[in-house]
Amino acid sequence: VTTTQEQKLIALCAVEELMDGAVHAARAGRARLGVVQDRGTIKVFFGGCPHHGGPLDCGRVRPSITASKPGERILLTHAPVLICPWHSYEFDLTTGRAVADRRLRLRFIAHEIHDGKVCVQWPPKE
Amino acid sequence: MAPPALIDLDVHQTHKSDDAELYPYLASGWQEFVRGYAGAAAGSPSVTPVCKQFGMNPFGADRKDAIPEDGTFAGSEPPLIVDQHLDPFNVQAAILTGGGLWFGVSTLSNPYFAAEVARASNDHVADHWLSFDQRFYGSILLSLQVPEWAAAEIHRHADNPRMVQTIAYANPHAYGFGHPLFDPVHRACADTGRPFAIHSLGDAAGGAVPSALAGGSPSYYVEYHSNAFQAIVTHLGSFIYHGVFERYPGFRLVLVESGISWISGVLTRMDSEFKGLRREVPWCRKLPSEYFVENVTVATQPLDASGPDDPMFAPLDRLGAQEALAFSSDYPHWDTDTPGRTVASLPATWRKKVCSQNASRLYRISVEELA
Repeated sequence: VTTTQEQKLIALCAVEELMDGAVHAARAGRARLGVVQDRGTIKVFFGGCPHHGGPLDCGRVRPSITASKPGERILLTHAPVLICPWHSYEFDLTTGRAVADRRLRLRFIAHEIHDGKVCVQWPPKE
Repeated sequence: MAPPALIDLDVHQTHKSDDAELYPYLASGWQEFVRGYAGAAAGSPSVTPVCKQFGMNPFGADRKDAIPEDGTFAGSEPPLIVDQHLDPFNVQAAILTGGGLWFGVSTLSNPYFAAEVARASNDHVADHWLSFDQRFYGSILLSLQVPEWAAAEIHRHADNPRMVQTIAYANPHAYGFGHPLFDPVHRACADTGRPFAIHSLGDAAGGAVPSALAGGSPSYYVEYHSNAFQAIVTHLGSFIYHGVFERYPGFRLVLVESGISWISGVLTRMDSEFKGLRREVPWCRKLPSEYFVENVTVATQPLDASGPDDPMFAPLDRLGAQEALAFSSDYPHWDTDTPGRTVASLPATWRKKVCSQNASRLYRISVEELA
């Protein structure tokens, strides 16, 4: 593991631990982070929900849902969302945007893969 | 300066006697039902549903100065409405919203009789009121016991452009008016271009299924009357969450006699909940407040604002609610809003929209500002 003057590379989990549709909860210092994988794409996000600070690292990943008429429920498995365990806000895992509140956005953090592990530079640069 | 042109969304016309005035409009078999099988009037069924005590104003429901010389009911003489309300206040269109039996027709236990009374009432309006003055516009009274029959009644008036909306008062079912059980009515309104108006305060009629107030039935008129907006809130949520505005994009909802004080608080609450719970109702593509501004019109009376600087207006402005409000007086009832005072109480930039423009767009009624 390499280091810079300000930052340290922290391993969050092994890539092989990640499963589609599940959040891997991790820590970086005192910060809660979440790691998700969707069809080969890995993303790391800050665990504090931008709504009320709920623990997004305990959230659930589900297909997004739409309908063309009342009573219909169409699951969009190609567009998963992260659902906060506190107020059920949904966040688009591609864009980070809250589905029903465009002012809120999930905060992603850049990651690197080293030796089969998902790592982040910590603390992150602003 | 000339008073602004007004479209009044709530002018209560009524009968001097429900039974006597509607009698000629009832089919002969129902005439016999009302008069009694033995021919005696006393003790016979009436077209007017019984009202619970808390639904009766102990001081009387009518403005005393609006009661005709013969001592019958305010709103029962067209010329008096014209002289007392339309002419002096530049009311260029008065949407007639009925009175008396209209509040409870949907609670009559006999659904066939209820449909007949609604039909007769609507024909009476078309004959007796719309022909008297071109400024009168009718509401199609709905008896909602059987929504398919109510839909047929809407279609029966489809070719009369002066029957400009449908109107519901009491709820004979256990679900809000946006529930799919009312879908035939929603569809008929959308197909005929008629807004669906709900006038609050109908649930005091004996036979209404929901509690007249959420949480428990009231005991007093003041208790009921000041909280009756609760039912309006229930219906609004019902329309939004059941996706009626998505299923029928042209559908318009009109909320009458619930005032406007509740709007910003209720919609703020609804928006907050929806942001987390929209997954339960994925057919809702917009925030409740967005559906509200685009599809709902709220009549202003009873307007609680103390003046144009009243704190209630800033949050309404943020919602864009000035597009969703339209003037109403509730003439000739005891709690009528005087047009001049309502106009003066509105923010100056809202006045034209609220006085006539929003309603003009809703009902496709033209008005002309006086010089």
